[in-house]
Amino acid sequence: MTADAQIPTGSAIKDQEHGVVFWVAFVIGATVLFVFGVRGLLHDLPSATLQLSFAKWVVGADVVHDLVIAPAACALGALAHRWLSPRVRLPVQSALFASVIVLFLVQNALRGTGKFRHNASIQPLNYATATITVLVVIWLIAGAWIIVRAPRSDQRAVDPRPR
Amino acid sequence: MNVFERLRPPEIGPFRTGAFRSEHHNERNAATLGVALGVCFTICFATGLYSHALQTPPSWFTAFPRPAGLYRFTQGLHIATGIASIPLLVAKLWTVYPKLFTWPPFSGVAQALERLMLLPLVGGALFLVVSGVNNINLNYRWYVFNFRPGHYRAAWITVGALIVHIGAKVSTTRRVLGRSRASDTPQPSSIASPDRRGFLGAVFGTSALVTVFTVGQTFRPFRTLALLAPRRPDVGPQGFPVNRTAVEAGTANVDIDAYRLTIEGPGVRRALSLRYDELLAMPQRSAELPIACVEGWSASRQWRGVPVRHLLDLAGVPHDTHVTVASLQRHGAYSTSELTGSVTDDADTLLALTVDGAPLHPDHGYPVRLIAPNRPGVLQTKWVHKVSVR
Repeated sequence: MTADAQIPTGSAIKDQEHGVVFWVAFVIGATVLFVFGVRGLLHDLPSATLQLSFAKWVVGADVVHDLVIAPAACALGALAHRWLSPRVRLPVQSALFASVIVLFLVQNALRGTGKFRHNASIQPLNYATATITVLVVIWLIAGAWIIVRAPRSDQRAVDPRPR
Repeated sequence: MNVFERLRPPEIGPFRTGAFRSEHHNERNAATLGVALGVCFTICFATGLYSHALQTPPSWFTAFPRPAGLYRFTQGLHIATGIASIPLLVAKLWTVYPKLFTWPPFSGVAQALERLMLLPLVGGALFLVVSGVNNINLNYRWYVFNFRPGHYRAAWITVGALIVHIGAKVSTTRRVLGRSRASDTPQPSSIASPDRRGFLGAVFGTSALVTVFTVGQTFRPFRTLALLAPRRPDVGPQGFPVNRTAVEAGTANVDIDAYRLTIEGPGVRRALSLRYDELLAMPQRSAELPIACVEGWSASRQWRGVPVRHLLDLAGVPHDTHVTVASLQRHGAYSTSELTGSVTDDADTLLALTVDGAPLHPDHGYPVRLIAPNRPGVLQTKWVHKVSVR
């Protein structure tokens, strides 16, 4: 099953999604975006340097996601699809996903950014140990999932369709 | 042949038909994750607006002191929901990623506008998540602009774009999510497959997992599970955290013999200048109140001190009067804080001298700090030396 078969594109989208509701939402959303967002931003970040820095972050987030993170995730998914049997594929992919999210969440603490030498209450734990503990929990759940879903997946494994 | 036909990219890479083979790139997953993300973002936005209004009150907004733990709840919810939304956002973007390569990219003005709005929506949402995670870790090294206005304005921009996106997707979402409830409409096998449920289960499970491992920084029953949280509510001087220490604020060595608390300004009938021992000799009141930080951690403590209202009565200040509390801290955005009349008059609004029965630690504001119900921690001014009445 491909994305193209399931997600309508082109004129089909236009027919379904761009009626009166869209235009009402567009007027409200654009007003909110420009009046409270952009206009307020120009007020709160008054210099061109600050505004440019902000724009770089927002546009940069788009670019990094579309050109780096998403392709990497797709490539990783494709490799997992090729190398893993149907029985373990989804649990392993899910555990990889959860692990990456955890590492993103804890990366500041792992690097000690934000720590201040006079303030022991910021990032007070041993985050290497804490992260390993959470990752172990994630992969144990994945292992249990593989065991639980084994009979059903074995039946599905005979389906030769590409997935 | 129109311009898009002439510019059609070659059938290679992501533009190739069938390039994205995973069954999880489908409308139903996109709709389910979109609804969940919409709920999370709405909660984050509402609680964020409340926090911003308390810190930078607009003219129409008056801070209210009750319920005492409201800010603790709303800000804890803000951070917890923001963290829970990270897996949802990543999964949602991955699910709809093939749409980035559809050709033609748009087929009319409406669709062009809708797709243009994805730029602030996706960029804004990612910025909110990244800046939020950095903020709860007090990591501000990575940008030149101030976090709060940047995060606040990005929230408005993102929500504006989100409203447009919802307007475009509401009919599709209804159709796709309504399909399973319509018993007379058969479902494609992959849409209802165990793997699809497994995919969504993994995403929502990750969301639950990161919440469980962080929410303990404000929700005490989960305290010991807060392995990924940058704070523990029971770690710090006198058993709870601090943001700005006395060393950072330059208030580590207050000369208690020279210390005076003054109540002054054009609004007082009798200006007061009180020594620390005089404050200790005044009628005291105890209150259990939370320090609830904008970064999402909170801790309740038993505070004891002189009610602000009592001091204002001694200075001849009428009820419902707005006052400014000033710190010995020379620099920083929070060296003063404003108290509206209703907060000033609340019996539990104290100039605290002790916490849990002991004098305040320097990092908690020794000799005197403000503690009032339903306020962000940054407004609970430490090292107080002056109350000004206009």
